[in-house]
Amino acid sequence: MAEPREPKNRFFRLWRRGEGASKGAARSITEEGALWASHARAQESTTQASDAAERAVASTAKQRATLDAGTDEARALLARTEELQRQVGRLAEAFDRLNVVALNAGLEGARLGEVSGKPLSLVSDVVRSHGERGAEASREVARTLAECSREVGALGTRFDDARGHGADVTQNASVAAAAAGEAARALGDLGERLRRATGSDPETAQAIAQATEHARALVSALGTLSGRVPRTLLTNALRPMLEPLVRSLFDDDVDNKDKE
Amino acid sequence: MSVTKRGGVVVKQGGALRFLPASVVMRITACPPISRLPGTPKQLLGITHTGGEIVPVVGTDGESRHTPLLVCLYLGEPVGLLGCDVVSTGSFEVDLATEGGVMFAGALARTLDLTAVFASLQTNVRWEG
Repeated sequence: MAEPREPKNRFFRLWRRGEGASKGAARSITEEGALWASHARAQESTTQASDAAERAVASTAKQRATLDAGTDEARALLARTEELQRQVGRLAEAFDRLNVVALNAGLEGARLGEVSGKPLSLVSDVVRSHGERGAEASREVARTLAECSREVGALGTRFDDARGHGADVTQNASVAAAAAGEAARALGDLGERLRRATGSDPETAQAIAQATEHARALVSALGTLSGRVPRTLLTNALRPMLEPLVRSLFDDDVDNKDKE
Repeated sequence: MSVTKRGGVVVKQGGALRFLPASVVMRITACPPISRLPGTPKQLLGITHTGGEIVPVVGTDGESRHTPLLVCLYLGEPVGLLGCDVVSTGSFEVDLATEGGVMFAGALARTLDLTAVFASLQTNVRWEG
């Protein structure tokens, strides 16, 4: 039956060994951990870039649909404006004809003589006055409608331009999505080569890096307590936690020696 | 008793006011479609159908076809005049200093001499092929 070993001595032996001979190995493990962390960040960024590019493509598709609807509405508005122009043109024509009727009434009034034709002349003047105002108002409305038509036409052109720019954005976002996909594949390949080159994997490297960090923190804390707390008290306090760790490390050493 | 007012139409022709007596002007109509006659002088714009009869249309001003058509009696025949802007119809004060002229809005409107218009049409004939 093997003799029970002193856990305290083993722990400090390992600790000393870790401080001395294994410094290079620890640094290498830390570098591997950092490398895998960078790899993971690069993969995450690539995924985010790919998602953002896909979202951009989807957004531009929605924008295109909105612009199409806007263009249709502009065209409908243009058609209605042109119809209104035609109607106002007919209105102006009607006022012009009313003016002609009033002129003829005035002419007939003049033929009847100053006394007999007076009422007819008066009515003619009034009708002509209103007819001219109506015709002028109609022409003004027609001019305004013509300006509206031009502006709506310009709006349609701007919609077309915006649709062209949106198509450019879609194309560029598609290129970005493809590039992000290619970058993701390259990173996957890089990870595989890294795994083969280092013999580690991201999870193990991360766990080792975390364990190293925790070990450093423990060593730092022990260094702080050294000389202030009686060693017996410290050992008794740490034993329940450190014993499984020391046993595990020691057993690994024993296993390795057995294998050798 | 002297006649102080005269009925008719005041038009603007070439920037000047002109007067056409009511005895000359038969009616005023919106400009109907005019059919051009081949081989006629340029000033004879063509013929048109108005008031149930076919009338020749003469241009008094080279520019506007958007003016109303004045159907006038010339030598007992209806003739259409185009190119005069009708300013007013009714009875206007006679300007005694000018033969046949009337006053409109403080301005003199001389009588539009149809004889001169048609004489000019006949003397300046340039028959077009």
